[in-house]
Amino acid sequence: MTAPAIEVRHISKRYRRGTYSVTTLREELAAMFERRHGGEDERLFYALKDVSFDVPKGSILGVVGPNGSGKTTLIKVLASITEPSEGEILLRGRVGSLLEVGAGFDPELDGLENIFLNGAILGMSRAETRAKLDQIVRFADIGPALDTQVKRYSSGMYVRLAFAVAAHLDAEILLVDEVLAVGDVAFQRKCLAAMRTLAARGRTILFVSHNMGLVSQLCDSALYLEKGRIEAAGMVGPITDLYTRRLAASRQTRPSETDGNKDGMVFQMTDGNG
Amino acid sequence: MSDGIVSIIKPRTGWFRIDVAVLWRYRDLLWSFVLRDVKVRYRQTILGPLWLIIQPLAMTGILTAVVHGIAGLKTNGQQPILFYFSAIILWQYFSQAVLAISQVFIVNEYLFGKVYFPRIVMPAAIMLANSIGLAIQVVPFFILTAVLAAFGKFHPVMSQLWMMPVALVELMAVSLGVGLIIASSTAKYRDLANATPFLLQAGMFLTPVLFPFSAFPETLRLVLAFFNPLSVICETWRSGALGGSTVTLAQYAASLFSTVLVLLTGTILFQRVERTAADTI
Repeated sequence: MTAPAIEVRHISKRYRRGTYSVTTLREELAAMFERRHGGEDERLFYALKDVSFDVPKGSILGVVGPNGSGKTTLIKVLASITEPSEGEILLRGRVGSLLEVGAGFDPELDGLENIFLNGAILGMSRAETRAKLDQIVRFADIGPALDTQVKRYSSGMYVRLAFAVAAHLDAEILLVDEVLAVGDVAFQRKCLAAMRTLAARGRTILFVSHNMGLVSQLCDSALYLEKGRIEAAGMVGPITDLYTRRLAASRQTRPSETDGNKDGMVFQMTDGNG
Repeated sequence: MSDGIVSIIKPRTGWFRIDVAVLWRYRDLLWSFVLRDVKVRYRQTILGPLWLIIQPLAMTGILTAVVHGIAGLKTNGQQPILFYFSAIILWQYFSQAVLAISQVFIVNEYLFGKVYFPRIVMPAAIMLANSIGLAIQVVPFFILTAVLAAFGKFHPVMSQLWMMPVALVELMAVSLGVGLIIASSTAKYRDLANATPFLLQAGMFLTPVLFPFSAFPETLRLVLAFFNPLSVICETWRSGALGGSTVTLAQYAASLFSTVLVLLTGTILFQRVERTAADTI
């Protein structure tokens, strides 16, 4: 039994509501002198509260939950983008993240230049990127657009190129946050296949999505977050059922919202079963 | 492969922690950002990097005609064209690098919120990309020197040329340091972001750009060297190119000490702020 690739222990993340102004500066100064503890401020809230879980090496964990449940915060803490307020995380292996489509792209650079830039941002050396260049270009499949500035790309071309770089990153741990929704069904399927191949080769993937179809197709296990806490974790089936039930329940309590939103932006089951 | 990498994420404590091994891993990123900055600056321009040369040349022409010609400001006996050109490229480097570095959190808010890399890579890349620009600007300066020397308007002094690279290293350090201090202070409260352009404008009058260092009263020079290390750096740079220097060893030491202090302060502040900058920008 090998050690888990990701060990999350009692992670909490506090945020503060409101904007920074003279008032907050005054409060900060006051807190400095009074040695007041942060918890007393009613404007502080927990985006994550005492979250603990393990992800075994070579498996795909789905993270689901309603908006504002802390999914993105969790992935940002795991990716070192922001520091946790409490707790500790152990990551075995290099971490690559795909939080948003083409986050590391410079719109002024062309596709090829952006492959190198994005690769470097994700932690690849230029030599590593060069070695993978053919595969990346083939996977992205955007052909002659490679020498065009990325600002002229369609959002579909953007996501293709971004995922192509991330999928070929030599990261042992890959964090993916709801980015595949932009690509077409064929490309989504290609990405799913790529992630399965990566997992089969021993890579560990954390997959955040609102698309229960994708989650049940892809993930080995899942966890359900709500209000910053893990409410349930384990087999994918029960977790996606819980998500669906909770979503339905929240719609019943707020009927006004369902009226104008019958198609359900959150659900895209058609892609999942395709 | 990187199988051996184990990273631990937890709330950091302590006031100074820079992981050199991690920085070394991101050296390719540094180079990528430098390349990006250089490329993007001249995309969709017709003259491209020629702009690097046009700007100081035009500025030198204006200064020679107005400041030297009309206002009659002394250049300490130096050839005025070379006197202004050498200082203008140095000052422009400082003000552009400081302004760009000071906005690093604001401009990269989106990027910093979506991907991780040691944030210090970005200001370091800005500093280096600007240095490439300065290196290019030195070429027309030496051409100008050669032309003026050929016409007998200037007697080149080679013996102090070594002072130029020394001044350049200090210039890079002080620009990075000042930029980092301002950047760190703007991650949460943006006040200084509004003040920076004004402070830079004002700073030019406390730096011997339009006049020689010796224009400052002798008693004030040591104090100035400490509070504005750039004043000595500018004078050292210029005397490296043109010969003749009025900087004393004490003044130089004060400026060097202050430069190191600024860079250290900037680095410490920056690495304290970068941990949670994604939440407060």
